[in-house]
Amino acid sequence: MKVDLYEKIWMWGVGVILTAFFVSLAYAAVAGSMHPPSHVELIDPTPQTLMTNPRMNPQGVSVDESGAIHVRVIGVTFAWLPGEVTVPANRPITFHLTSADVVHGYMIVRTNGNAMVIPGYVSQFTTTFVEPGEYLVACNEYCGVGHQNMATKLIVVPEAEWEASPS
Amino acid sequence: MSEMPPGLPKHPIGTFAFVGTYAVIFVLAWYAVYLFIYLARQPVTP
Repeated sequence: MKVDLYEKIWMWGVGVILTAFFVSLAYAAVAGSMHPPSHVELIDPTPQTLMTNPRMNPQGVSVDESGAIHVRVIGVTFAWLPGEVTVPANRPITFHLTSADVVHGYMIVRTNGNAMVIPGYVSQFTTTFVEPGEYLVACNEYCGVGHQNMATKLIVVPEAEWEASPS
Repeated sequence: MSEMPPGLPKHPIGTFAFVGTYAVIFVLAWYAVYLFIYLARQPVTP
């Protein structure tokens, strides 16, 4: 089959670009451990029991026996429970997220914290905030008529300040 | 297909240059986001 030189250039160009993109993403996933946050843990999403479920309590920030910091947050239409949370900088923070109703998205803007929040599952990821400051937490999965109001703040304070008055 | 007017080049060089430039900018922008935003944020640990 006769293929014009220009068509060959287009076809090879497209193939090379797509291959380069795919290899770059595969490299990040395999060598850089860049995976979507996920955690296979089931939980009863019934709102009446979810709020008191031991695995989602205490809600907000807590420190376990080993000193690890956990943040448990429940998404409901159209709020995060609890709202603002304060965590220390330069310490690994493990987030446990679930939903009492529909699918939400817990996105800590300008950071790598970003997970889908699905009823019946506990999403989990661990991350470290280097820069103290206030971070916007937004729902990035359309969840209903009040979706645009489903936002709160994550406050990162210097470690010494947090140790003095852990919240 | 209608006849091409006489005197035109065989291939549309201008179109090629225009789309090629778009492709180059697209690839550079993609890698800028990949390197300076995506990879720079580091992985979260499951």
